[in-house]
Amino acid sequence: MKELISKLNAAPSGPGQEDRIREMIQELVTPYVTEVSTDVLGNLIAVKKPKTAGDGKTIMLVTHMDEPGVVVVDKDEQGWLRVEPLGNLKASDMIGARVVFGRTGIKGVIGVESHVEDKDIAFRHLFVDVGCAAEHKVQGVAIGDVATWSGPFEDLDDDIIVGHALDARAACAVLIEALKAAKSTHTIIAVFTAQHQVGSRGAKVAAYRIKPDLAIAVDVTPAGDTPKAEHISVELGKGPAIKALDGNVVVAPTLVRKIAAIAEKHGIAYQIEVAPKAKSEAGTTLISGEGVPTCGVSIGARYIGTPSCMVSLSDVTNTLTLIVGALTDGAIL
Amino acid sequence: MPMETSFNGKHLLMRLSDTPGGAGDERLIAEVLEEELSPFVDSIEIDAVGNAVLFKQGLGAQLHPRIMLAAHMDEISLIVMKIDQGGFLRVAQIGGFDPRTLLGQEVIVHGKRRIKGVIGSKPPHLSSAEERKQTVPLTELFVDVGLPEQRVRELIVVGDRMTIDRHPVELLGGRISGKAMDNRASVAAVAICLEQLHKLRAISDVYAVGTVQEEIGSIGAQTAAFRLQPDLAIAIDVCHGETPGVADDLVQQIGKGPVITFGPHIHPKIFERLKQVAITNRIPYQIEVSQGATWTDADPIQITQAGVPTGLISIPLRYMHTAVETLSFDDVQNAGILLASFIADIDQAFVEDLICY
Repeated sequence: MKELISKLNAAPSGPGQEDRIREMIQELVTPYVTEVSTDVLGNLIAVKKPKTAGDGKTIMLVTHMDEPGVVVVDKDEQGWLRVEPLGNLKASDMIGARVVFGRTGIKGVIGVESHVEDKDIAFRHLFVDVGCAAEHKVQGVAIGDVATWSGPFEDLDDDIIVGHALDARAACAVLIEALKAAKSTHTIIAVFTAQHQVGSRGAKVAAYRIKPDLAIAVDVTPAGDTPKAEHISVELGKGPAIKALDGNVVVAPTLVRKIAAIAEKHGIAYQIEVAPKAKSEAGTTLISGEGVPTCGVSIGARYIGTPSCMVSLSDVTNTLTLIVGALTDGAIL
Repeated sequence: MPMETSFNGKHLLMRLSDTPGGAGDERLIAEVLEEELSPFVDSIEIDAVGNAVLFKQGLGAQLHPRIMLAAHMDEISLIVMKIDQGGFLRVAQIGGFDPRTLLGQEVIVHGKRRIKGVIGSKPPHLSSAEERKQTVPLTELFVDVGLPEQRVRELIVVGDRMTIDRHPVELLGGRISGKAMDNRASVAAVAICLEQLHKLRAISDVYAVGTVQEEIGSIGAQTAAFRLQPDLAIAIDVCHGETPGVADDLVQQIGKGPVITFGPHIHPKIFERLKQVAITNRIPYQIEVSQGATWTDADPIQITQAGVPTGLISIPLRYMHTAVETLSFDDVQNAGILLASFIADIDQAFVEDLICY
């Protein structure tokens, strides 16, 4: 699992430019699925049909492929690149960040104009420096190119891992492994979505197309176990967090209890996610078309929205066990 | 022959106000509707997201116009976010409470069983002068259910819902005060409409929808409208009643009749017909002009699929999003009568004409 997440973490793919991660995931899931396709928004849709006739029911798993990034909006004569954020990023967090452009692989660092007070720093004060002396490099960057963090993946110990794109590549890894492991009487459709960071746009059209009997959104959620954190009960290493509420969905208590019962049956410790400030794809899936019954399972994460998103590997593997349990357990539908 | 029932709109409203139903957990409200309204409708179903769809078939063999009514069933509520040391519960809100009005409230925690709790905060004696000047933010509030932490953890888990515990009271002057009048007043008005329709000859098929999760973004209304694709829809919600300290042009009069909204999100012909029906049937009404968003189920319904001609009727109330939402029952009754009279007045020619704006 660790190797898989590390591999996924390394594919630079900002919102709307998910090509690298999509190609990688497509290759990884192809051996385990009946069919795999890409839709008009760039969602990767992997379908695993039951071996026998099945029960005609469909469960959709959904997580996002994209990571937050910056988009080039201007390039001056000296080659300094001006950028704006794609996703929920703070300008001050970006100073000194190393970034890579997904389309070309060109690398750069983010600098800031020195006349601005720390508290006033906005994206208009930042620029990307791709090694400005290297004229040919700047020529390779086009307005509209998206850069994402380029830091390495690291394991702090056997359990705790850090990477800039673990939101939500850790969840992508869960979906990939779930496609491999699950033997279900339902059709399983795993959707690796595009454009989550700019408003969960991919999930909405995917849910509309698929019209599943149930959707399960898998993502990371902020943990509250750091000094003076908000009143959030999710902690790293305490198991998958079953979604009760986030910033754009409340899950029916009956559905929350069904997932919890599956966790109990499989002996998996679990937590309940109440994250009013977090945005997930559960909300957009729920309101798609005639409405889709939607629940969610999340992986607790520290430092979301920074280059050092941190999760517990045991939470990831237990999330996988829970998801596979849900897919094989008739009681979920 | 319609069966004799003991339908009483006011009792129903009081019962609905008392029944807990936060966004995402409206099933108890749907159960009350099933119990009280089955005699007046042809079928009741709960859809994929929890909307209660009460269907009443129109009379006659000709083409039936299809009318959707949307009144949201959910009330603003709280959810357990964390169980703190000592068994105190930290909360997040589902829908927009004013934290100023939460302090000192009684709540019901919907844990393994229903548990009473009170909302507390640091007493003034122990607060700094600066703190006393400020509103206590939601993050500083907590719910105390009186039990030791161990017992709290046995009975309550993170994610359990809380609703305000407040029985409705009848004030003088025909006023009723209680929690969740937003929007149970409208649900009661729809119920009154269905009861009235039973006595009228309406050719339209009526889909009266108790919608879910309005308080967090009109979720049920848009999926219901998508599925039903009605010829026209009327949303019913509450609006602000006159209140000391609030400018007259922002509020409507309580007891002066249901409010018919006009504005860009409203189909002008539906507005006009609602007004005409009120005049013809001598139903008191008021008019409200919205400059754009009405912040009700009407907004998303209008732009569902290829578009739905949509109207809005509101019931004025004071102290919105508090535990003492206060209104006049007459307005609720008249809203129900106006809806029923409107529906009875609609024919196929009217809905066909709606296509031409």
